[in-house]
Amino acid sequence: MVYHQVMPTATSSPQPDAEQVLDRVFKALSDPTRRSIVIQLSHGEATMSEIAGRFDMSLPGVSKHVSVLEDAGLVHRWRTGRSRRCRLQVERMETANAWLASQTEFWTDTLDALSQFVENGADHP
Amino acid sequence: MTMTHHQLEVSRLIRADQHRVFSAWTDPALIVQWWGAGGVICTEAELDLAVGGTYRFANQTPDGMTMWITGTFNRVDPPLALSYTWAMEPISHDTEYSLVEVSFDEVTDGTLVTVVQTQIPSEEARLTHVQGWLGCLEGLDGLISKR
Repeated sequence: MVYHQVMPTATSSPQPDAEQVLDRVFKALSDPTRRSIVIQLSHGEATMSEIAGRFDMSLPGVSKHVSVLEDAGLVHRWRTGRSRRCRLQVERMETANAWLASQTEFWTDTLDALSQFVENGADHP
Repeated sequence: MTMTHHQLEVSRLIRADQHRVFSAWTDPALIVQWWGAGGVICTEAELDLAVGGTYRFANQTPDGMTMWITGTFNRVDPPLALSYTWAMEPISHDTEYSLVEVSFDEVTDGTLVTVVQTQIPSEEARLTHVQGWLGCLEGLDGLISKR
């Protein structure tokens, strides 16, 4: 039996475009409880019960948060026997990370240009 | 969404008088010395011991994560009883608080500490809390008996 088969999160619906992906990822990460769940899952996969036990939550409460993370493609949830397990989808974290990195690069370059401009300006009044 | 609430009760005899046990339970400098269970330690504690006052305990897990427990006192009755709400940060509009009631009863050999926790949001959380409280009470006993 293959439980760990990687399945696309949305097989029936069309692929969301890059902007929609970023919207969902950052919306999912805009909640502190969901960020805590992401931190826990970064240490390894967990069952819904383990998340409820660790974060002092009800199963419906956990499920609500995990669904948002799942919609954003950040978490993959599947069933093994009687328990439901979750793990981080590293690829989607990379998408968010790549966007942040591109912005950092843009601003680093822009600030470098600004500082050169200011310095040159000071040299040649 | 139907919510099923869970509860627990644990108790332990501590060989010291009520005043000493109550102060160990409510003094941040002492709390950090006994609070914790199963590899979890309390690295920081702050509390405003008054009805309506709040408290926060930093629980550091063996994997290095720090989880803050927080709540508000509903009853402060030294050295007999305490009651406070309980939740794990981050607090948001859908935070599920439980209620903790602690009594310190004078018995022949010392003080019987009883913790009753109600409105626990899940059976899984209840099991975590039972282990937590048993470990905490053992730590409290250890701190008080070594003095």
